[in-house]
Amino acid sequence: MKYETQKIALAYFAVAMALFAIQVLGGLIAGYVYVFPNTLSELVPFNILRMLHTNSLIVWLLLGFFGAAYYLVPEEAEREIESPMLAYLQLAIFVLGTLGVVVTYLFDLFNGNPFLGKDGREFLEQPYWVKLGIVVAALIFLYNISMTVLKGRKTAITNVLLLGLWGIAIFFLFSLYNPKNLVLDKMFWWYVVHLWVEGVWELVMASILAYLMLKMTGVDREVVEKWLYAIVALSLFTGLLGTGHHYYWIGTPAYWQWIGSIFSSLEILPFFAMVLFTFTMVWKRKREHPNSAALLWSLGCAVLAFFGAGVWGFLHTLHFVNYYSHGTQVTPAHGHLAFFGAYVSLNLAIITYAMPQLLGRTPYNQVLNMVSFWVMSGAMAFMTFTLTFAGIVQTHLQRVRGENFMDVQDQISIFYDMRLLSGVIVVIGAFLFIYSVFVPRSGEVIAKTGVAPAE
Amino acid sequence: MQHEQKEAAPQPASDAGETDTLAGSWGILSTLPGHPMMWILIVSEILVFGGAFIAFAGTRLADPELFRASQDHLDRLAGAINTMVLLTSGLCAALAVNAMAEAKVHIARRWLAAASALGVVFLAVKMVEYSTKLGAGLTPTANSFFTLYYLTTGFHALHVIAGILILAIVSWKASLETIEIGTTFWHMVDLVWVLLFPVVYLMR
Amino acid sequence: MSKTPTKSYYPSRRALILTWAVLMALTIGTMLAGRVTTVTTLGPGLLAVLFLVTWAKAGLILRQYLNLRTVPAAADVMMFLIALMLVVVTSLYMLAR
Repeated sequence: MKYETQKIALAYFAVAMALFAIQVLGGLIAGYVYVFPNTLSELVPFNILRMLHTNSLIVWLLLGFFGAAYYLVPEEAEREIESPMLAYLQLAIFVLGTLGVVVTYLFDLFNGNPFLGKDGREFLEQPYWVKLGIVVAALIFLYNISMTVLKGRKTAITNVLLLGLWGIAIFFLFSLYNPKNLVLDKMFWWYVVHLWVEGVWELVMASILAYLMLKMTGVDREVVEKWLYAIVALSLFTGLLGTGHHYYWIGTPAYWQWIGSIFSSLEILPFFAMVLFTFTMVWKRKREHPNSAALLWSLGCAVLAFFGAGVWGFLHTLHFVNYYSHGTQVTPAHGHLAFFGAYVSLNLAIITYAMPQLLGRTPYNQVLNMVSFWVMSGAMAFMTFTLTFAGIVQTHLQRVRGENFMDVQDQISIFYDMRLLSGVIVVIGAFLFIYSVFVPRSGEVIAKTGVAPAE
Repeated sequence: MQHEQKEAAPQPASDAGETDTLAGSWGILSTLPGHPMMWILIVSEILVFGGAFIAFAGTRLADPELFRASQDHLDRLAGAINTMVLLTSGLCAALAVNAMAEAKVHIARRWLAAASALGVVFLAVKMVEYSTKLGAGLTPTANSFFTLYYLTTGFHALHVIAGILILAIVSWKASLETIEIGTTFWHMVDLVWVLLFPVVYLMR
Repeated sequence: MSKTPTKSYYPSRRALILTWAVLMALTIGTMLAGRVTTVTTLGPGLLAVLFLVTWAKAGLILRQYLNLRTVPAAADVMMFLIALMLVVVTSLYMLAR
């Protein structure tokens, strides 16, 4: 760590990890409700559990991105962050908003109030005042990071990162617009939901991966930048019009079925390019970085994102397939592996890389960290398979044979049992990870490598 | 790979191969004419249009009679003329690069202007075709044939417009490199039409 | 750019004009095989001719206009991609005759 203000990342990562713990526990309870449906039905109904699970995921991933930006921008721009005070203020706003969200959801406060009560749109349930708070926090963040970059050295990594982060803020503005017309409502809703995770978040992902590859493999910046440009071009080319794959059945014109099918089929390309990129960089590496765990997470991120977002996304993206599979368990199968592979793993990679340096230690508990990778990834892959099988059976029984929804649910309950089991293991893996990065050891446990630290 | 025990010291830079030089930082893509990013775009475009053509042929399976009857409404002769217009325009673009390689910037600009002008001719013919169709009530939502017809040809026409803008920019910022990159895009638009014409207009 | 754009790197004016003439002739071939002015259906023979003529035109554009003759491997990859697409499309057409 060369710059004092990189320390800001520590606070962001700490809050992110706390929310990560809450998120996986929420998921665990929700998975339990699938098996024992009346659990907590009066106290915290399933829809609230699901909101907590998805909202906390998004918030902690964003906090991780912010933390990553505060960590890597000083090194790339070769100067301190413009204003550390603003960075902490931004975090405080986020924490306040998150607490407000949790309290509002749990106790259903101000039900029906357009400003204080929860909003009705899936994933954007946050009360309006929280949304405004997020906008203010985003503006503070963008000011802080943009000024740092503008006054410092400009690199491809910071340019792409800024493009992604500005995109996140701009597309979030559509969450403030809620047209009465249900078709328009859904259409703009995807401007946030799709253009985040299948658009600008990919830019953030590519730039953070590029930073990690640059630092850990020692390959020339020139080469890393070329890959980054290619990945960004592919993401935008496929992801923007790929939005069409959400416009099949919401009342938008029929030509979206073909625009969506064709462009979103190609969304696999940027993820494949990221796999090629990370493995080529590691293959051509010029140094052995001591933090093998961070390298493992980076490679794992690219591979799992390729399968989760790329392959599992393609499985049900063609409109004539989606006509049958829409809204079945195929969707959560894709959702879980895509989010875990692309964005959870990415955050865990940068956290694994940054934490030893933020805390002023050499990589410690590295073996435990790597164990947590295999535990979490293995369990998440298993969960994906169970949900995929559940979805295929459900599609056949419910959509092809026309059986009743609840009758079908009874027939696929075995998959929910197995999903709960894999969920328990994911939670164990998550706690192993958090322990391994935060809790110091007296003796260091480092994977064997031959060479001195490279920084 | 983290289980492997790496005993070797970091390799000297010279061992890492061709990626060390500035020129070679695009790897094998460096050898392509024009800019490597343009070729990434070209391959992506071929995949998109290829996907659309396969969608076209696949959708036809469901109702070949509807497709045949609808396709007979297309002006096949206009499509053939437009093919010749674009191929001639492609010649002008290639001659612009040729002139620029001899540092004859004025001649290069003249060829680029000719290429753009033929692009405008193409668009004019296309507009006549569209207005005839629309006048006869054959809108993009008329049936599955016309949805795909307007999608593929419309998306291509947007590329022609973009291409004319690109040719204008490289003509303004004229250098061998910029003109080569700009005309690469133009030839791609040309190539897509050569594939589109038989698939959408002729096969029946 | 690593390559040195010498004069012979680009196709000569003569070669380009010749390419254009062949492309025009092939387009007339497309018009004949595609029976442009007749309302009719095409038999497998005409479809095959159409396929080959189209593929040849794509090849000329790639090798001469786009100058991929300087990178034959890349030209082969593109030609393969296009052939694959044309084979799939033509087969789908043949299926519903």
